[in-house]
Amino acid sequence: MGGLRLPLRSILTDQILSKVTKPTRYIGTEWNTVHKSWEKTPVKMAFAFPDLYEVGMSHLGLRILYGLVNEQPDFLLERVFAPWVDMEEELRRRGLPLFSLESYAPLREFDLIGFTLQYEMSYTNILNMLDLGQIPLRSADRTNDDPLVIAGGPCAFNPEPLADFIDCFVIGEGEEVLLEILGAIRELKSSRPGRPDRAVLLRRLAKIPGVYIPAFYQVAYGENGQVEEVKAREPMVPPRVIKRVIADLDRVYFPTRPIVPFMEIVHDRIMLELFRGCQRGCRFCQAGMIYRPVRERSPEILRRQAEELVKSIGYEEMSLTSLSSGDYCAIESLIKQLLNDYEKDGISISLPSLRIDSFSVNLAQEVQRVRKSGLTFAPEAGTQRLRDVINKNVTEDDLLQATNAAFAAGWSAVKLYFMVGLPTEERADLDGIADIALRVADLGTSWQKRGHIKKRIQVTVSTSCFVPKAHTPFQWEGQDPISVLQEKQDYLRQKLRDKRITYNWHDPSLSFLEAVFARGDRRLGRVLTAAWQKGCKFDSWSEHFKWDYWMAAFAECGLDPVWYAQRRIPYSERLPWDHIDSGVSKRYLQREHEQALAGIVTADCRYDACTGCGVCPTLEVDVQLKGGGQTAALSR
Amino acid sequence: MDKLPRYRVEYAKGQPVAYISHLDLAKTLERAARRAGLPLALSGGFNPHPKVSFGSVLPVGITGEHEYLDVELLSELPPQELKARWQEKLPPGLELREVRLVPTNAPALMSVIDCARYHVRVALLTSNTPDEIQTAIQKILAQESLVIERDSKKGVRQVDIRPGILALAGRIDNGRLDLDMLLRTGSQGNVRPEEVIQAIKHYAGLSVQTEGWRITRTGLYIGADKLVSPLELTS
Repeated sequence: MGGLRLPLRSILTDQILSKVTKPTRYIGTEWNTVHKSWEKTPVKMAFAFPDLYEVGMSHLGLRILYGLVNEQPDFLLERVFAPWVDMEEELRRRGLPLFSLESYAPLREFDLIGFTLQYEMSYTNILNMLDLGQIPLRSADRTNDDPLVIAGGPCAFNPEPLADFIDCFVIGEGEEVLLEILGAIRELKSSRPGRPDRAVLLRRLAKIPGVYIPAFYQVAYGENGQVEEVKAREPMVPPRVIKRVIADLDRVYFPTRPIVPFMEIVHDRIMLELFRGCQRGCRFCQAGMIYRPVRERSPEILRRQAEELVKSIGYEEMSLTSLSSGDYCAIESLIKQLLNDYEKDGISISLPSLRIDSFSVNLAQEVQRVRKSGLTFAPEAGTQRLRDVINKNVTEDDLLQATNAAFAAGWSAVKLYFMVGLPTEERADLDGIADIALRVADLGTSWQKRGHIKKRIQVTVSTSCFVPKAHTPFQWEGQDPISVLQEKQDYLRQKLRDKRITYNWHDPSLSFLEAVFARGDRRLGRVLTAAWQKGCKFDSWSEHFKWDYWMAAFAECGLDPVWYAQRRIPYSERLPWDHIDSGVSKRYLQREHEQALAGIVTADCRYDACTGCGVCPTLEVDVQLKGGGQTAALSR
Repeated sequence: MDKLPRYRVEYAKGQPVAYISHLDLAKTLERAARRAGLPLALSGGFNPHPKVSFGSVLPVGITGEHEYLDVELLSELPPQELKARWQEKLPPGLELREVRLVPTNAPALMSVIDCARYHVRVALLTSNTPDEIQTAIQKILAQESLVIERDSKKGVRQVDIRPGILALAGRIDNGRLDLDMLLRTGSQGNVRPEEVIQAIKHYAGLSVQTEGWRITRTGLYIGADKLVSPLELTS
């Protein structure tokens, strides 16, 4: 073991790197990387991101776990990303295994491989990475000589489509659970030489709250193909696995020395995490349900982290991240303080996700004192009726006021995000999207005529396709057929013919597959294998998406993707993910679904009465607002 | 504003950072300078960026032993301190060799550098005697023109690189061909070391491996006849 590491590094620099695109993806000596002793560290883990380097390196979870694990003396964590096709070809041609960036260690030499599941269309990359790492794809085929393969992240809330391949899932926030898992491996490794016995290890891990081991559960299907029963096979496993959650964000580890990539990555900036969770309760939004409750970090701690980050990274931009950063209690004072601290160094501040109602153009102007970029708003639906259905509590007036103020302040480009195919959507809702876009463009033109804007007015309208997601009020809804989604996009394309407007849309066939896996069950593991064998990978990269291969894979396995994506599921039916407990009760989700169909909105529990989602009592945590000040929404 | 102190930095770009692009190199140096707390002078406008200018772009995959950049600071620092603080924050493979204060009105590096020295190591596919190598090199130098194919955005062009080859020497070492070449660079015509190998293959018939070349740029100069380095120019 270990013998391959040095040759791998020299083969790479001498023969391979000059032949592949963006060789910087594979170098592994970026600033702040951690290179621990391979021989002296008892437990070795690879963090595997099933997409390209530049996507994976933008992920905050990776930064957190990389720092957290590497701070422990007995553990090391190294990175591995999906190699781009040219690199994969070079590796396969030479029979070389996929390796980690820090030690150039073959994947199979690690004790533990941890995949993060950020989106469904990265699943084939997981199979491809395991195969390139020379690790058996199926959990059942692995022996004591193989690493343990675990996975976490939002898609782990419906783990079933990956149940064949993943030994153990982490449900919820990984910071605490991961150290417990690594600790268990260290303990077992110290009691006998070599790798722990898999059966012993899995039984041990099953006792850790938040750990789900699919092999310990048996699924029975009913006559119509629906999941009938999910039964625990072993006496010690819980019937439902409950999400792990960090109670106090001020006390949890946060990395202040993250890696600084050489190449440009998707989010190439300092990330300051303001809070976790969002309780606005948009009914399509999985993140809004599974990350509950809202837990803010204190402004003093954020300022201290900012200071350390600026010193250790050297980026020119700082982003205040969370699901809805404008909602942070002390957002205005925090931004002012940060600007005062760093403006002289040429460091700009950005707010990636502004809601229209918590948005003040003053705030945006403050933020963009150093560098000016575009503004993005997400009304999601074109009419008030539909916005009430999805519980997106913003009005057209909010949007028009905000964009008007933005144009008045000199912005010329505005982006608007919508969804098509939402439950109960009608023609009038599509008309509403076009109306809003045109009204916004007209506002821009009027300010242009007044001389406030010199550049061309640019309104970018993007529509994604609604995907019903597990653990949301819309989990029972069917997705529109692909042809219907296409018609809706065509209709909008006609209506948005205006030289000030650019219209972007998502490929409905990709959203269709996303819906299949978002609501899928264990049988889809066969489909994943078949699709990967035919050559599917990087499915979310349009140049690689192979629709025909996917359809052939479903046909081969005798499974109907339409049944998974487009079927309206009755409340009475057992859902494939019912044994995974996010803390939000099914009863609440059903009530929210019924309210949606009745067009009744639900208020945000931070400012109003408890809405009874169940998360606080179930997980024994509370909503934590630490900003001290009033929110923008309240102060309006 | 043009009174800000300006420094000339000689640095080396080794492995593994030889594979980062010029743009990424600029960003890497800039971020390291920020980590070091250097008082970087920033350009004005919508997108302020540090005032750093480079001597000559080093192609991806080629290491450089004597590379140059100029940087402006808001306040004066002893060159040794600038070097030490910056170096401490640089990733492996980037080494600052020397830093000097230069006159603020010194001409831009890009406009004065006109030739580059390279060392190239490439495996031979045939076994050649040292004499055969010398003959091949003499043959190249004796040519009045050496036309090679150059890929450009407009497609493949025929280019005569002979005027850009200022010196060429070579020897055999362990089945490998070691070449030293002095080539014209910059706006007055630019020759790449790979193109010289292409010419050697084509005009002198030496058979070399097509991959695993090691190319190092060993120096950048002003004036091919005197070979003054950009650092020497300042003193």
